[in-house]
Amino acid sequence: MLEWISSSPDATRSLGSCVGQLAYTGLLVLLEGELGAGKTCFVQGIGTGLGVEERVKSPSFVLVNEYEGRLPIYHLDLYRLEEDDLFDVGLSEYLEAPGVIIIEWAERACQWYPPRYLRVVIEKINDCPNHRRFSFDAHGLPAQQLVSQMKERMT
Amino acid sequence: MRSGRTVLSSIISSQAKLHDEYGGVVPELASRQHVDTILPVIDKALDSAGVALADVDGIAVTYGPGLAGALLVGLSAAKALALASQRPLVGINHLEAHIYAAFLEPLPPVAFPAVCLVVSGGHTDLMYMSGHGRLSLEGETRDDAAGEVFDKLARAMHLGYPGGPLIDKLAQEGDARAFAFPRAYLEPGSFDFSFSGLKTAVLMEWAKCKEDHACLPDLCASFQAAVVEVLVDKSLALAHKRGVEQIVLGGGVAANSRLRQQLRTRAQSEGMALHIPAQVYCTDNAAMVAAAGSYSLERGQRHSLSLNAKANLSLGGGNSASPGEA
Repeated sequence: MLEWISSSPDATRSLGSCVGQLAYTGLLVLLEGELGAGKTCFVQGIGTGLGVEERVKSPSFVLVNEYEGRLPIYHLDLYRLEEDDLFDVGLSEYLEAPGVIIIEWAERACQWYPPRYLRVVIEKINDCPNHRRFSFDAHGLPAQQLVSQMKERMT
Repeated sequence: MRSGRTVLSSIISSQAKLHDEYGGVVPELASRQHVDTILPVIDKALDSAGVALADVDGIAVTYGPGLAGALLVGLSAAKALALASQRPLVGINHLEAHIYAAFLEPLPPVAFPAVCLVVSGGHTDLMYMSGHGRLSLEGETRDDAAGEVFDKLARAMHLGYPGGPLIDKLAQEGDARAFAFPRAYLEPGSFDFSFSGLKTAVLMEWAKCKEDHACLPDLCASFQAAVVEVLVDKSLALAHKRGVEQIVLGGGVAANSRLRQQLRTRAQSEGMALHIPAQVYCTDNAAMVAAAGSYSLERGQRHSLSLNAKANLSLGGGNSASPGEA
């Protein structure tokens, strides 16, 4: 488990960029955090870290955005979905896609995920409007290695 | 549609009620519903126009951007119609279609060049249009689309879906200066937009006052004012920069009363002509696609029957016809 406090949207993007630089094929990033926590902002950083030139935008409306970087990126958003709809959206196909899969509002589909993933919880901090607490919770060896590399880079 | 300006019939099958319970459009539901409704809608459109399929000169269809499943339903039906009637098929960019909503009668004709602002749940795009089918993207949202923020906030404040009209209505009873929300102008000279910071700021105020709903009208009014101010300022700034005297507004958020009123006031005082489609043609409809299609056909554009849906079709991203387009 790694915790990190971000003090601005730019700091959040740098943190995301670090994840993007260390990302590998099959990395599944599960993002949790309330509306306005900075999930999309963090994913913009991951995109930068993976060398995506296109602009990474909120997928809430379209549900899935795909980007080409060093690896293909599948950026999903379950914000408007209920458990029953997940099958219809084709979530299980995306979970097997050959690239980096990033899911916003991931907590809406808990029992769908394979055992290896990187869970990132973003919390607002009372009285500090721009600050966010990031908790990285790695499951499986590749994700654990990614987190320990992050620690090395950030300290 | 006749000559790109006259609507012979316009049938709209709305899914708003279906999606209401999900707080937005759900792709699979959308495409299933499309399959069920498309043929009756086509029949009805021909019927109420009083024309037979054989009288039609061409078939226009949206092929992107949008939800792939829903696009495919429309494309398949359009291809079948084109094949059966032996008439040309022309694929249209959904964004371009929103602009052509402003070309419909009884609005006066749009002269070129024009600055076009399309604002909806999925888009906030500022474009420069030098002629029919000649569009360049000058600015777009870097995060959330304006309409998306309306929907998300309405949902967070338990108002319902679609959020735009609900917030608009509440805002009319509120004070737009009650809360000083941020306006994201980004770097000087940029025509891009960003609304996620505003979204967060509104949510933080809402968290403070949600116990008693008395703050809602002021909150909605101040939020709406912040969105509209940036949209209007950037549209006018682009028009001045490019020496343009025509402004076109389109997309679902063009139905917003404050946006219409502010844009009208500014355009008038700065000597520009403003074109806003009738409310019914602001939200998605087939008449605007037919209007865009009619000008495309006039320019000799055609697509082959192998035209494919492009979920993230960009402007100028292959809207010109090329044979054997995959």
